[in-house]
Amino acid sequence: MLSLYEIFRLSWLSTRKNGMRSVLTALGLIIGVAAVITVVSVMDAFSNRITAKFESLGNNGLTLSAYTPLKHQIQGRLTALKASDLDIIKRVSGVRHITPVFFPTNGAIKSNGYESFSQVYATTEYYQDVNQNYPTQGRFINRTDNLKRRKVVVLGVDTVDELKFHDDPIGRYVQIEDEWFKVIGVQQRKGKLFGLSQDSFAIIPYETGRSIAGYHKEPQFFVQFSVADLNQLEPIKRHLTREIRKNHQLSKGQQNDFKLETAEQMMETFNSISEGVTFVLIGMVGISLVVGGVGIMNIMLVSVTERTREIGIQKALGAQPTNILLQFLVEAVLLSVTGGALGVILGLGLGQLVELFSGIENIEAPTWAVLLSFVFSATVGVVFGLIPAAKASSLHPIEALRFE
Amino acid sequence: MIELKSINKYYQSEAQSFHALKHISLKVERGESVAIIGSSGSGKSTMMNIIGCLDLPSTGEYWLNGENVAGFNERQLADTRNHTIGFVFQNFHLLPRMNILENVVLPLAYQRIPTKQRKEQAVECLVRVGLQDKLNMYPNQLSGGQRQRVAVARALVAKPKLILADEPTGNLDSNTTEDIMQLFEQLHSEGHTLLIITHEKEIADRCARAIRLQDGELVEDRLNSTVIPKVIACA
Repeated sequence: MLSLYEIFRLSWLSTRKNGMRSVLTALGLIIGVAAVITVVSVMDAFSNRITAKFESLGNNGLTLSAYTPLKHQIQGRLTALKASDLDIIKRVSGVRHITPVFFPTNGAIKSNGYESFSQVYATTEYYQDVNQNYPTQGRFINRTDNLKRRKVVVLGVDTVDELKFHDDPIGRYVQIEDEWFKVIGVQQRKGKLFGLSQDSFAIIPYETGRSIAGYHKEPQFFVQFSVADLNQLEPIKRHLTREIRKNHQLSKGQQNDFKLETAEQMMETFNSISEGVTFVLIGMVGISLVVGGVGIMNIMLVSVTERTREIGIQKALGAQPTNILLQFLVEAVLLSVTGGALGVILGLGLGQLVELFSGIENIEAPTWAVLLSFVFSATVGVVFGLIPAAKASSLHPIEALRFE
Repeated sequence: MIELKSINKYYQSEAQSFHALKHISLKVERGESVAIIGSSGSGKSTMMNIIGCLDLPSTGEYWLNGENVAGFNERQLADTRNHTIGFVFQNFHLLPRMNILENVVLPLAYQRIPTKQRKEQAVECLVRVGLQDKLNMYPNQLSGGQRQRVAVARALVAKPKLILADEPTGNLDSNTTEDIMQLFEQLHSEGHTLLIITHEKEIADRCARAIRLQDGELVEDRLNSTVIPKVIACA
């Protein structure tokens, strides 16, 4: 029996002899694996970032928002939360830091001839605690600002940049919906999420927001709040769901017209989306790997034909069919695994390139993806090497020797 | 050593069947050197294939070393080729991607022999054919005569009971032919059993016994008086 080392040596010799051909053959696999590694590592880095973001939201935070099923949305039947929902939440023990939020305007924020299309939030002083985001300059809006409907605003750092204040923005005035607001604070930087700035916003007091929105009915608001004891999260959620259903006069069996979500749930939603995307991409890449495998099979069949005489010689010298089978199988696997390794290297390089240009940090290929690439490449080699190897091993020695 | 009992070989083509060997019976003792001669199409290649365990007879029995090869499966045939027979081919049939030493080691690679011992045995055989200084060269760097010596070394390496040479000098000039024939004669004098297939009378005359095939039939079996038959009695 040929030792494994000798089989490897033989296979390596023939792979090297046909260097260019081997590389071209493995190209399908190289590209396929590189694509897997790149996609997986970018998605991984991306989702790590998102996870970190959600964690920074504080995992004891909850959001109550109106929920309209798609069918009703199409029919134009939008649901909204009621002002009394806020009181219900306030009455629940174990809840702290409640704040309603709504978007009073979609207009631009102007200052000194510069414009910023940042989102304007109307909310209360508890917003900073619920979101664990505090001002680095000046102060946040307070209860009095709200009661007195003061025209004050807290800006995000990107909004500050867009408005191009030359010196300290605190005390300067910006224009929102033709009203002048005094800048009282700048919030700490949150960074980017999905490549979008999270620091492009302006926060004004809730009641001030209602006044500039023109008091038309109840605004489309949502409620952010946090619970004091994380262990009480589930009971509180159940209790609240019951109470709000009652308040919305939903009969038994009727769907909730609101959503009560924790940061964790939002994270899970995101994760399931990102996993879905990853798997779809891996599936597509899997197809390219199969195509790569067919390429390997093709070249192995050529190789068997080319070396028919050699196979005949080896058989005449006493090689068993299994010797020949193994030799060609190892060659196919060597080809595919080498391709896989090159693909991994290429993929890692591409990941670094993405990191350089996209600003997504810490792009690293997860170990499982690297291992999976190798296992998959080897499997491709075995599966697609089997037919050529079987063909080689079943050659009749005399016919093989006579082959010209 | 070798006994063929009424061997027939038919080749089946689409339209007709071809009777390549007709009722061949033959006995070769250990230590003999036998030439099989005949023109092309006489059936000598078919005979060599059967004796070399590369092919099986259609009917008849082939006893090699006390076993009836006619009933062997593919694995057993490969095993017999590996252990019992050393092949020397007209076209040398060396593997171009392996160096001389690796080519000679190859038959041993199919046996359970430690790597070190394989190498020792191979070097020994290469010394035997006078190529000890060419171990790391590749077949295409050698002359025809040298290549055939490598092939002889490879045929000897597994210590086979029978050396089967198919037109061993067919691709060589007269000088190297002489070289190779002397090597064969030496092997014979050392007690190896030789079977040489040839169409050249000069080669046949240097074997102790010559068998002539014609149209698939054995038509002549003579001893050469000039060559002393070297039959070792005990098998």
